[in-house]
Parts: sequence; structure tokens; C-alpha cells
Amino acid sequence: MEERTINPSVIENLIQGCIKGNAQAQSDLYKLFMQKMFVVCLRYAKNREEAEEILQEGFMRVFEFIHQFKNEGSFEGWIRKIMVNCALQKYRSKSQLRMVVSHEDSPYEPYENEDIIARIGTKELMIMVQQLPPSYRLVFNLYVFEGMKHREIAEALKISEGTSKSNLSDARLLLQKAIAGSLRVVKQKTI
Amino acid sequence: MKENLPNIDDLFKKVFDSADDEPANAVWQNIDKQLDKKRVAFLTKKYRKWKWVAAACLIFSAGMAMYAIRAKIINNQPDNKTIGTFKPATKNLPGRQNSSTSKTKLAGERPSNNTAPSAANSLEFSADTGKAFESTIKKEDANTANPAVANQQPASAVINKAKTNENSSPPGKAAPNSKLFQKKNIQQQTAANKRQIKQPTAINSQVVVKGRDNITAPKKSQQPIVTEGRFEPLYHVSMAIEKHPEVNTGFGSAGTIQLSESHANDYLADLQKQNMNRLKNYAKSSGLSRLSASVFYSFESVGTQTKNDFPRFREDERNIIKNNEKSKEVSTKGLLINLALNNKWSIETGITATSITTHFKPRTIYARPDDNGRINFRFSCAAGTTNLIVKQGNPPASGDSLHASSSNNRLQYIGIPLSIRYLFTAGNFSLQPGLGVSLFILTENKIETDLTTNTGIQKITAGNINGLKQTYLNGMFSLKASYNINKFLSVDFTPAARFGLSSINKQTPVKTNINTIGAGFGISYKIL
Repeated sequence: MEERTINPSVIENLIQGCIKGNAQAQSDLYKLFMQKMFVVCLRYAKNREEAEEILQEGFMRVFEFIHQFKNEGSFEGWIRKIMVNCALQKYRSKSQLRMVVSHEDSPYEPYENEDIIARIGTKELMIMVQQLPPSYRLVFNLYVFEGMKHREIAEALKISEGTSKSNLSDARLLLQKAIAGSLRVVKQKTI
Repeated sequence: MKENLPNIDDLFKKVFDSADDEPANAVWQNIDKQLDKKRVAFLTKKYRKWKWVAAACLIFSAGMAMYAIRAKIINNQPDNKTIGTFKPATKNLPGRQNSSTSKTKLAGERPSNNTAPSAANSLEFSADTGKAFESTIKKEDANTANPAVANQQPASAVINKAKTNENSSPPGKAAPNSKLFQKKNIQQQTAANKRQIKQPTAINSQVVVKGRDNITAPKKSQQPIVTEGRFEPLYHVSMAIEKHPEVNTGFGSAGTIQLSESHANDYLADLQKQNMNRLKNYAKSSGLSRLSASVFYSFESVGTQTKNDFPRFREDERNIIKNNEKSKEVSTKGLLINLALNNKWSIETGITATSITTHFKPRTIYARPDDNGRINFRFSCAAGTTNLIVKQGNPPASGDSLHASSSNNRLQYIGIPLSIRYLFTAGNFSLQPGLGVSLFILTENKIETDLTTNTGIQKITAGNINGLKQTYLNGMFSLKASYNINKFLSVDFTPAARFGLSSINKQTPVKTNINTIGAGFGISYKIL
């Protein structure tokens, strides 16, 4: 999003500066993308501290391998992919964990998304995602935000497609329950 | 509920696509530090080979310098064979008694490559010293001037030889009138001295050294001399006369010394012997030698000086690292070469091998991401950090921990010391305080630890401690006490204190300087 508002030649100059090891260019590049990438990291992490670790490792890799960027896609997408890979590497070992979820139906009142956002807020939604078990969180993020298919997710996480589908389904259920719970609390407060 | 599922995906996508959040400032600070570290690592890697080339050049240069100095010393040593054949041509000459009994501390030098007869030595000697004083060959009638010599060798033969050698005139020519010859010879010799030409000259001629007042610039010879218990460069007779007026008193008056050539030979031979004896006696008594080599072994006690550098995790804190250390052992062994600059000062260099072993208390280690994002168990100590590859089912996650029951860290260095020493002597004992520096080159580093895992105790050895510098500098103060067993061997006891002039590591949790204090025992062999 930031990239759309910035002249591509500026980014190109920053990339060239980083390739030469220019500290100022590295600093500027970090400032340009840190907020956007930090949200990506927050989605994959359990808390802010871990998200910052992922962000740090991700940017180190960006600066290390920036000479390999071929200008074949958007630079933001390239950085985002590195951040996601760092996060996957961090949590891959725990992705085998399988959580048993009770499928008891909870009362759910349908709301429009705008209403939910207005009532709950971005920060609380982020916490809901972060509170998902790592395996669910990874699959949910990869499927919803990275647009990956279950086959690709299965390859990336070294799990079966069935596990990927199951994890996604469970993640959605958990999120729905969390949203429903939050909405009830908000409603009670309103009453 | 199922009909609402797509809404969940859209809901979160919509929320997070437009979301921004700012990380803590510490993130960039850490990134910046790591980038600096990578730059340093890149430069270190780039110039590492040049470091070794520089070290090799340094050692080679030191070796060449020592070889050159040694060669110079050897060249300056008297040729014993020459001295042995350097016999006076005549005995019981006037003045002979004076020269042999005089207590002068002079020395003369006979050129080692001289193949001319002894008479030639005398004149070559005077020609050498002719720069410093005016000397002439006064040829007098052999019968009147020196009957004893005349009896041994006819004057005509002497004259002929003199003419052959000095004037390059054809041999066999008749002897000229003695006064005329004297005048001519004086002129020729004076001219020869001015040109500083070494030429052999007549046997039985007399060396006339005109007064001390004319001795202005003593010529330094190649031979060392011991005078008043000190090493001094050897001076020819001109300087010796200047320094020792009793010689003049013995040989002449009004500042003029007249030595017969054979007497001069005797005189020089005596001086040579006296000088050599003094040299030997002095070297033996003082324990001083121009060049000596010693082997030593020392035990040292270590005190590390640490300060926080780049701590990344809570276990990187300086006090925690210090508290985890149980004990340290340091030992050094090596070969040192001592070269005397004069009778008091000497320089010492060589090569040493130092081993530093640190033992750690039982501790907990944690899995942490390394610079490449890989997560491994990380061992942090004063020397640096290392990643331990533990064989267990699943790769560790950040924050996982293991118990390290027993651990030690071993560092080995090759050292090149360079110090300057001052000599105090008392009989067979000598004391040499010294001050210098040592360059230490890292040759081995490793951490060994016993980790308690699910599968039992694993002994892990890591041979690459991150952040250790390849070289560091130590300052050094020592006091070497020696006892001469004989004229070649001495035993040494050397208390020494070393203090780190530079840290052994950089870009690590803590920056560490190593200070040691200890005592070494060794044996020295006097080479020269």
C-alpha cells in the first residue's frame, strides 16, 4: 500500500543503496516498510515480542539477500514473502500439534463485518488470531492472507492437505466463537 | 453457521490489510547492530588471509634481523687461528718488557684475511689508523737503530722489501742512502696514509705515532672489547692511546710513541689475549651474553575484565556470564631469544603457546535464533557465543531450554612477545626487569558441554565461538631472575604480569580483556 504512494525510482534507489551496504538506505527502507510488515508478523506471532523477533530476522534477510531481488514483482510482496518465511521457520516445528476442538454450537447472531469491526476493533481481532494454536494460525494466515491453496500450505508446512483443511476449519470455528463471545460482552455492556 | 464462514475470512482480511502498527525502536537498533557485525565479519573475512601474511612477514623479518645481527657478531669475533699465529718476529727488544708487563686495557685487531707476514700487520694497522693520527715509517739504519734486528735480517733486504711493497718498484734494487730513504719513505707513507691505502711495508721498520694531541678521530674497529667490565666497540691503538695515557708514558715522551714493528706485533698480540680473556671472564661472571635462547613454562592466574557489548538475550548480561564461570586455568610455554644491545639493555622475542581453559558452573541454556534466523541452543560465555547442535526429535523452538551440567571453554593462542630488559648482575645472579607487548594469534577455540536431553546426556563440542578475534595484544611486565650454572647455562625464574591491551572478542554479549599474573620457570643457553 505504501509502495503505491512512493515513486518506484525512490525504492529502486534505496535498493541500490542497500546492495552497496549504505546504512542510511537501509534505515530508510526499514522505516518505509516496518509498519506494514509488523502487522504481517503480528498475525503469525503469539505476541508482540515474538512478532518483533520475526520482523528483525526478516529484515536481516532482506538486507542480506536484497541483491537477489529481480524486479519481477512488487518489492513489498518480496519483503512480505520473506517475513512469512521467517514466521513459518519459527513455528514450523510446532505445526504438527493438533488441537482437539469441541464443536458445540454456540449461539451466533449474524453481523455485518462493518458492524463487527465497529464493535470489536482491530486490536482485539488481532489478539484473537494470535491466540489461535500455532498450527491453526499458520494455516489460517496462509490461506486467508497469502492466498495459498491447501496443497501449497501442505507442502510449506510439511503436513497433509487434509490436515490443512481441518486446521483451517477449526481456526475459523475458534475465531467465530471468539467473535461471538466478544460481541456478547459488548452487547451486555451496551444494555 | 457455515454460511457465515466466508465472512470470517473477509472480515480479517479487510481489517488487517489496512492495519498499521509500529514496532519498538529496539528492533531497528538490533538490526543495525547485526548489520554492523556482518560488515565487520565481511571485512574480517576479506582481510583474514592478509593478517596471516602480515604475521608471517613479521616472523620472517624478525628472523632475518636476528640472523643478520648474529652474522655480524660472528664476523666481529676474533679469529683464534690468526691470533695463534700472530707471533712477534723478535724477542727481547727494547720496550718489549713494557708492552708485556703493562696493565693496559687496550686491544688491537689483526685482520682475519691477512696473509702477509707480521710486519705487514703493523703497517696495515698503522694505515688503518692513519685516519686518526699521523704515522710514518721511519726507516733507520738497521745497524744503528736496532742491532738485534739487524742481526736477523740484512738492511738491504729490508729496504728491498719495503720498496717492493710500498713504492711498487722492481725488486732487487739497491738500498738507497738511509737518510734519503727515510725522507722519501716518510713522504710516501704520509701520502699513503692520506689515501688510506692498506699496504704491507718493511720488516723492522719502526712505527712512529706522533703525540696524543694529534689523535682526533678514533677509528672504530670491527671487534668488540671489554673495558671496565663493559662491552665496547674495539678501537685501534690510536683510540686506546688516547684513553690510556700510561701507554704513552711507557713508550715515549713528549707525546710521541715509537714502537718497533716486532714490538708492535707483540703488543697487539698481548692486547688480543688480554682482551679475549677479559671478554670471557666478564661474560662468565656477569652472565651476560650477546645472544641466548631459553625455554620456559609458566602457570598463570587469570582475571578477566568484561563489559557489556551487544547483549541480545537475558542470559547475555555481564554479571550472569561472570557468575557462570567457575575457574580458569592458563599455562604458557615457549622459546625466547634474548639479544644484548649493550652491557645493560637487551631485547627479547620468540614464540609462545598459551592455553586458556574456563570451567563453568551447571547452568541452563536456551534456544535462540542465530543471525540467519535458525534456532539452536545458544551457549554464551565471556569469550563469545556458540550454537550447539543437539540431536533430539524436534528442532528446538525459541525459548526452549536444556540443562548443561558440565561445560568448559578452551582457547589456544600462539604468541609473539617483544620486550626490552635491563640487566642487574651480582656474581652468578642476575635480575632483568622487562617491559613489552605480545601479539596473540588464535589457533583453536572450542566449547564442550554435557547437556541433559530427553534421550539422556549428550556431550556436545562446538569449535567455532562467534565473535572471537583472530588476534589480540597484551602488555607485559616481568622480572627475570637468573642463576648461572656454568658459562653456558642458567636457570630462570620469571614472575610476570600481563594485561590486555585489546579485547579477545568483539560484537559479542560482553567484551573481554584477559589479564594474567603468574610465574615461569626456564633454562637459558648462551649461544654467543
